[in-house]
Amino acid sequence: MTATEIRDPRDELPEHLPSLRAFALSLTRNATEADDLVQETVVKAWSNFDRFQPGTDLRAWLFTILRNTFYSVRRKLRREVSDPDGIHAQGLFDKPQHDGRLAMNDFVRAFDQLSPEHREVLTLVGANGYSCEQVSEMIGVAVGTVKSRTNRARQRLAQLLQLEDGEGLLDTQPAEMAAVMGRSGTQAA
Amino acid sequence: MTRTSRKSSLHQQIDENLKRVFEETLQQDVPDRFMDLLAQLRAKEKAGDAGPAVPEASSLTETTDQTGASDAGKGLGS
Repeated sequence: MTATEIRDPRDELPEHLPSLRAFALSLTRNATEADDLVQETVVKAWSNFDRFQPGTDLRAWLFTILRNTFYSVRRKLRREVSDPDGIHAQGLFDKPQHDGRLAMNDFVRAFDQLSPEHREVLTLVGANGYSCEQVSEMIGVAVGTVKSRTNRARQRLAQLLQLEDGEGLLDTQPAEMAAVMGRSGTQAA
Repeated sequence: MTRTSRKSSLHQQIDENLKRVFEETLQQDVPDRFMDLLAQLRAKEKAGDAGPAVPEASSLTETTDQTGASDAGKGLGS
C-alpha cells in the first residue's frame, strides 16, 4: 500500500459509464448504437488496463478508446454503405423557429446534422471542458487542427441555427427581446 | 446579463446547450447490462488469476450470479 491513494481503474470505471454513454450518444446519435459502443469500449478497456497509466485521467483514456472504436466501425461500414457523410440528411433540416434564443429541439436537430468529427470536438471541448491540448492527445490530431475544427463546428452549428455572432439571447433586438421576455418568465434569469 | 464580450455570447450559448444535451444523457440511469458486463469481466479475470481449476469459469457466461462470483474470487487473487 502506497501513501497516495491510486484507485484501481476497474473500480473507477462504473463512475464513468454515464459519461461514456453520453459521449457515445453524441457520436452515434442513436441510443442502441451508443450502448453497443459503450459495451465494446468497456470490454476493450478491461483487457488493456495494464496499458493505463495510473493517476492519469481515466475518463479521457476511456473516451479515446470509445472514439477509436467508433471510427474503426464506421470505416468498416463506409465500405458497405454509400452516403457516408449523410449529405442527403442535411436537406431534411428546415429553418428553425427564430425567436431570439436557442430552442432546445432546434439545437439538438442542428447538432444531429453535424459530422461526427464536429460533434466529437464540440462534445469534448464545449460540453466537457477539455482543453484543445487535451483533446489533441485524446483524438490524435494536432492542437491547431482541434482548434480550427472546433471553430468550424461552432460556425456550422450557428449556421444551421441561422444565428450569427452577436446574435442570440443576449443580443436580440429590443422588440424581439420584449416578446421573448413577455412570453416566458423563465428566460429572465 | 452584462457580458462584455459580444464575440463570445453565441459561443457561450452554444456551449451551454452542448452541456445541457450532454447532461441530459448523464442523468439517465445506466442500464443493468453494463453492471452485468462488469461483473462478468471481473469474474472472468478472477477465474483467470486462479488458474483453470475454477469450475465456475465456463458457466459464468450463462448464469448471472455476479455477486457470488466476484465475492468467491476475492480470496483467490492474492
